[in-house]
Amino acid sequence: MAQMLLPPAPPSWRQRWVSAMFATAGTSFTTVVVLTLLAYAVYKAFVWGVWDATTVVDSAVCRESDGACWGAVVYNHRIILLGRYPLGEGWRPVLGMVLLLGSVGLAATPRFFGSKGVWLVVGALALFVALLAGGWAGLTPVDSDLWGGLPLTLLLSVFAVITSVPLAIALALGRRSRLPIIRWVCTGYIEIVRGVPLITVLFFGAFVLPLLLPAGWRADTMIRVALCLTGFSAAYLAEVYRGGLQAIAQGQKEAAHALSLSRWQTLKLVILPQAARLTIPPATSHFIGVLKDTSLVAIVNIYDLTGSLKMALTNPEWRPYFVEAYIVVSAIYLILGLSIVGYGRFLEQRYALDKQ
Amino acid sequence: MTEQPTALEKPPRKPVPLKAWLMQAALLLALLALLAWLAHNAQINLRERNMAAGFDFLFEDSAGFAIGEGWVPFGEDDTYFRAMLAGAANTLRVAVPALVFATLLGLGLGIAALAQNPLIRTLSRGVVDLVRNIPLLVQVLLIYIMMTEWLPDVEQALHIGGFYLSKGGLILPWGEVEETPFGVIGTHVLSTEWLSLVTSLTLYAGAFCAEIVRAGIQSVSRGQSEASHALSLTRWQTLRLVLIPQGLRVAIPPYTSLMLSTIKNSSLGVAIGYPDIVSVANTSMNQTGRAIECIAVIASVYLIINLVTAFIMARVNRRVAIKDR
Repeated sequence: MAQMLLPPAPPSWRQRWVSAMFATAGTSFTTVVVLTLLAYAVYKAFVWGVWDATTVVDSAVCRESDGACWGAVVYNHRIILLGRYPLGEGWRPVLGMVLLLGSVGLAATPRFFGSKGVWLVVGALALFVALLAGGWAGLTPVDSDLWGGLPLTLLLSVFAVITSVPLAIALALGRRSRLPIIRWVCTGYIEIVRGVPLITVLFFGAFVLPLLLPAGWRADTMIRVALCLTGFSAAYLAEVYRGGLQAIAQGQKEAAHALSLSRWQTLKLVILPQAARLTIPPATSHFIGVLKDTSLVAIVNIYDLTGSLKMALTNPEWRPYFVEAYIVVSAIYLILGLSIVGYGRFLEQRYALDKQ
Repeated sequence: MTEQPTALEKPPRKPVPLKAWLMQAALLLALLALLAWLAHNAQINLRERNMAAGFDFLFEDSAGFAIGEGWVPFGEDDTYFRAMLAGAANTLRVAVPALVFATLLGLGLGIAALAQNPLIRTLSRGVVDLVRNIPLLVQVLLIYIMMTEWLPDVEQALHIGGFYLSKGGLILPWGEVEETPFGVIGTHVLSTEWLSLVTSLTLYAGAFCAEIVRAGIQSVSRGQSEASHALSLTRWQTLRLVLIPQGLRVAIPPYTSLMLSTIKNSSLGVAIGYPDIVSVANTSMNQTGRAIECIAVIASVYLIINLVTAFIMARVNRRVAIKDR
């Protein structure tokens, strides 16, 4: 009896890499050169960052050593991570941050999708602000210009993301409305905001808005800047959603109409869910953009993670070891950004149409 | 007998119902009321603070601060208008070179991201992901602090070719260059602020450009590269003659928004003291207190730059688009 012939096993990941890396003489040459350079760079980085490095919190030791001075980060960690928040009260921003991250993590699991998750995050945000501000249950009130560091970066970005979504949907729908005045107003808002740099919008919030509001209405800079981040994010997100809305075939709307769904039901049950699925990749990069853009509040003297880093480095004793501090802060942004990327991929796969 | 509409005729637009018109009128009224209220508040607030309003200061008052670099010569006695002009020129002075370098870097990284060698591919994608996920402001500040901390003092400037590099910036070998005991003085100097802003914008925009290049090349159907392979074109020729020209069609719209965002991102110069339009308007705002007017100037400058860029890119787009025959 003839033996059954199996197809050869597909080459493993490693085999494919090795055969591609040494495919021709030219490729092999490039591979060897690049690998040598890479090995040299990794070796240098290791010697600097680990072998020769010191973790002693003493700038005199650091001046003697050739390696990294992680003591600078240890010494400055509180300023970098929490900004100018009063000493001894540091647990409040940390607890708030843990609550916020926990609620965002929960809301991101399929069990909490929808309004449940949104209310969870909104609740965590409110509690976070209450914890930072104090003034209740025996907590000392802390003025908002003392808030800072990583908790503030997270607070501002999550706030801007959550609040800009409904505004962006309204703007996107308005821009596609057949009513001309609504269309003009929405288009005008979106195009003006997208036309200027974020820093201008923040200047507007910090310096112009107090002039435009009556005396009793002047909220503190933190609130004004947070609202400006929302308004800025909404204009860009509206364009993302508009793209999603445009991609949905006219037939969907007509079919929903034929099923005698109302306009509102059509929007909520047919159009928006499909648009949301289509806009997962651009919305993901937009949310990373919001996280990165939050750093600009440092220019209007709000000490978020970037602002606090800048503040920590004004100390001449530790300023020479700025690279170490920048590595730590960049790593934090990188981890946050890459987790959003990863989560976006997960959503994309979950809602892909060809998945059964 | 009623006339049957022909197939080519558009169906008549549904008339907008009266209720909708009333709603719109209400929205318009509410917006106008809001604007009037804001203007009224502004009047009261300005009167309280004894501050004037209007754009007259632009042409009448001398700015009284100096702008160290740029294409528009500017002294302390010049008007605010000229200061804004110098600022706008400085915005372009940093954005245009950054865009040129970023495009070259993006082409390199984008092509490398599609290389056959997986090592090159992974490296290129890693660099792109790294740069894209760190805020631009952090990169600007890092590169600036590197230059101010690590470069030698003006007296001990590095001398490479005809160039002198120090904390005082990069002195170009053109024009008059004179060595004095207190350092080198030259006609053409690129400040450390300019250098760090251009470097960081190049890296950041280059990483985004790499993604655009990659997506553009990948958008060309596989059959095209197989066909050119069958015509015995080399990989390089395929890229240059087949893939890039066709990929351009897909790449031009996102590239246009990259250009616009890079021009806007050059406003981060304000964080390191580069005198671009935002920075100059900010200083003017602090000196004159005319915050509303200064923000309006910034917005109009960007509006003009955006319109001109969009106009040019629309023409470029028309040239590379598929011609209908």
